[in-house]
Amino acid sequence: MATPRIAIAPMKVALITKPGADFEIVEREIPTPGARQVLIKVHACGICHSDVLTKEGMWPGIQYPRVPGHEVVGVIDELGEGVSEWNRGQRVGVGWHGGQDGTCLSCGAGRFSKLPKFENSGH
Amino acid sequence: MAVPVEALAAIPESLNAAEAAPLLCAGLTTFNSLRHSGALPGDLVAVEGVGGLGHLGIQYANKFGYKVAAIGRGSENAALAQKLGATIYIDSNGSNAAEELQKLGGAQVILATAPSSKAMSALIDGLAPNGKLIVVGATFDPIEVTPIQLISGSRAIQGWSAGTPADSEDTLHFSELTGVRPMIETYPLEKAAEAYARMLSGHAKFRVVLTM
Repeated sequence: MATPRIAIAPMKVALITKPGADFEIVEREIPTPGARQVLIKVHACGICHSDVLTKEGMWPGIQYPRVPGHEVVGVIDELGEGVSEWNRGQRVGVGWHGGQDGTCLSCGAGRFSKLPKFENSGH
Repeated sequence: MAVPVEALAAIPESLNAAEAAPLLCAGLTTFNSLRHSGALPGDLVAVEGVGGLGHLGIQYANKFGYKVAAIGRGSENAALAQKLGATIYIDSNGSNAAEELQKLGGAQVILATAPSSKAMSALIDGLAPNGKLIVVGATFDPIEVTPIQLISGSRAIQGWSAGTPADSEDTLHFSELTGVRPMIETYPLEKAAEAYARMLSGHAKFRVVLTM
């Protein structure tokens, strides 16, 4: 069962609308976590030199507008369907590794950074 | 943000959000690359760059029991590098860092954190036999090396990208256990542009963190 959220919509984000654009502080609707996802209320996010790749459009294939950042720390605010191993209110972090879908041999071998369909977090 | 569960790392209670954040990329990258580097306690390990990654790399290298040489441009960060755990500081502006490392027997590992391919190229001759240059400072310029430099001494150059969420949890737990912490400058989310410019300036001490 998905749990009701604590956060009050909307949320504020630092957004890049296109490669090379300046940061814009805008309000957005709080996303709904999908199956096997959680919603994180972010408390802190580090700025890394490799965020340049996102901000200046040097990483092939990523979509804009985009909210950069891959040093994220916050609290789980809502659980998506099928999530039983994490709890609401638990403190969590997200780095460069934004997930994997477990469908290829590289996943099975734990070589996540070599994945053909490797997913990145907000970077 | 909505995130797949397999991307999550649990944050220990003793770390606050702003100091935990840089450990998820800068900390993870330096911790994970060094622990897989093959260097053993007592080995000479050089950390090139006393910056966002380097100031964490020096701390981890010290806690792993290495003899740590920090390499920086100028003497500005010498005292700090020693406070973080380096027993040797090499000013690459005033000396040939590769020669200085060879005087100490050569480095088993050089962790290259500063995003300068030129500086990395200049360090390869500082490696010990079977030594390894680990590249974590991201640039697009080529590193210059001759086959002879690598063959003589069976040296290697290896890149390293951060790690998995399990590696992140290892980094966080090790940092909690040993007291390794990032030095940070915090900015509110609304000042993201200013914070990004501060990171780019190279003058931040050392990681810039947005809080909200």
